[in-house]
Amino acid sequence: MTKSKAGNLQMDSSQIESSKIDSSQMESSKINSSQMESSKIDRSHMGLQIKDLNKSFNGVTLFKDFNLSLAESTITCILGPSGCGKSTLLNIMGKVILPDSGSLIGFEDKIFSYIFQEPRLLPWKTVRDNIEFVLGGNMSPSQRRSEADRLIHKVQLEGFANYYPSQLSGGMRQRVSIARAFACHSDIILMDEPLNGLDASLKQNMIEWFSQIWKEDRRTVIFVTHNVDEAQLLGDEIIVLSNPPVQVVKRTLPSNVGLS
Amino acid sequence: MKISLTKKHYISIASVVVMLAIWQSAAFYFGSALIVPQPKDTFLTVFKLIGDLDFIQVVGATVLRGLFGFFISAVLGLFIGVLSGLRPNFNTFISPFLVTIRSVPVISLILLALIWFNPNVVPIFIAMLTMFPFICTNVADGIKSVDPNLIQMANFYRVDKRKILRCVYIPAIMPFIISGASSAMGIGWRAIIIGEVLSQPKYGIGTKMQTAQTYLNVEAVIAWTLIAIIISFAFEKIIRLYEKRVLKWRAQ
Repeated sequence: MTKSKAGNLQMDSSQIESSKIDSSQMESSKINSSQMESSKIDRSHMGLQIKDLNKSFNGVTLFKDFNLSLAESTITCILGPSGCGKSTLLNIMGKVILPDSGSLIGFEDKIFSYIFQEPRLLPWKTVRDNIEFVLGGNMSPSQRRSEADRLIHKVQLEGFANYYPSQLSGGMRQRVSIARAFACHSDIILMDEPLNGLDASLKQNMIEWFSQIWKEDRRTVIFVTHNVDEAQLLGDEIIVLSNPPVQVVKRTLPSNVGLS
Repeated sequence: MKISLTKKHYISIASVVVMLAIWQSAAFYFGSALIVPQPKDTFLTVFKLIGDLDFIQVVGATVLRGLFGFFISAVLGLFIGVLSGLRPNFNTFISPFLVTIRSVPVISLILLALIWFNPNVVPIFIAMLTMFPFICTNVADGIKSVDPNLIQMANFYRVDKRKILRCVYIPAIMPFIISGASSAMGIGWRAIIIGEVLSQPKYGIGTKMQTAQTYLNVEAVIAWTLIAIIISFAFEKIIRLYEKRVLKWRAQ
């Protein structure tokens, strides 16, 4: 059972890999990664760039003249040691934390959704209402409901739409939080170690749920983790960060993370 | 509604029976309705009072005062409680007020209120002051207990502030509001009746009790007391039913 799932996964990532080979070439020739993106999917894409980022936190310089460009419509894993400022970087991208200086290009009018380490569901709302909670006022109640139900179906929790989080298992709750992130019509999904604390088989399942839904609209995903396996399974591209002040150690395809 | 008697119910019934037995023995021992009336006669008096023309007005007046006092203290308590839950400085500022209100003997408040207000307002004022600190403190504790991760999640998803208040803060503090309301009501009814006894509004359970006491009508005093207990009990039940409905997400 698990084996065949793993097999599927393997295949998925190898497909992605083959489509990504030119990405690393582009990378090395210092051409904006967005150009290669447009060749893959016929949508016009602006690249996402972080320029000259500076941020100190409690006297620790996390980022000093930090630069990073990110591809859109792909899953980028940001891999780094615990406490290196990965979450801070994510929060800066999501405009929840302001940088001391520096600019974010391409992030201006983006809408974000999040998957956190814990599901962060409202305990007094049902699965469906939890998903509807983040859907904006630009949708009618019936649209919100059908969108919520569509995603509930995607994560295969159909029978549980009216359940409260306390009635679900940990893995089911995290599925709801994945459904919530996709239901929100965001441009970018930011993920902060969402697989921490899940056991190996659950983790495997979760990655599979995620990539299946992801393939539908290939949203930009930025996935922060300290776990190499997760990064390899999920990422189209892996960016390895150093300890603070953070620098990019290397950018690579999942197959050659080559741990130091 | 299906009625099934559990072991707990039997024990409760036994407890009531013992209470009645003690009352009956006391009545037997003193042998005078002027000191301790017979339970049976007292219950008959309760029914007689319920049949009285002005019963609805009397009970209605007391209940309305209670609800009115509760409403004012709930609105005030919610407002000040939310503020002091969110702003530690405001909490520090308001604490001495709450401690003072809570420590002042109810009778002092009544004596002053008698000078300041008309008899109809005195019980409401007393009810309000006795209930307010409970609700305020509970709401503040509730706000402090809201999981900051949920607030952060809502902010990340750009949920607007009013929706966050309505969908995150309010449900989170609901259990605290309910337990605050329950203790407030418990204290409140007693305070209202003391207020009525001393201020003598035209209608009110307290007014009736005071009149009965003047005529040494012990049966009526106890009968009105029983009615007050029933009212208090009924409101407690209503609160518990509401709690069950609102907090059904906590079941399981």
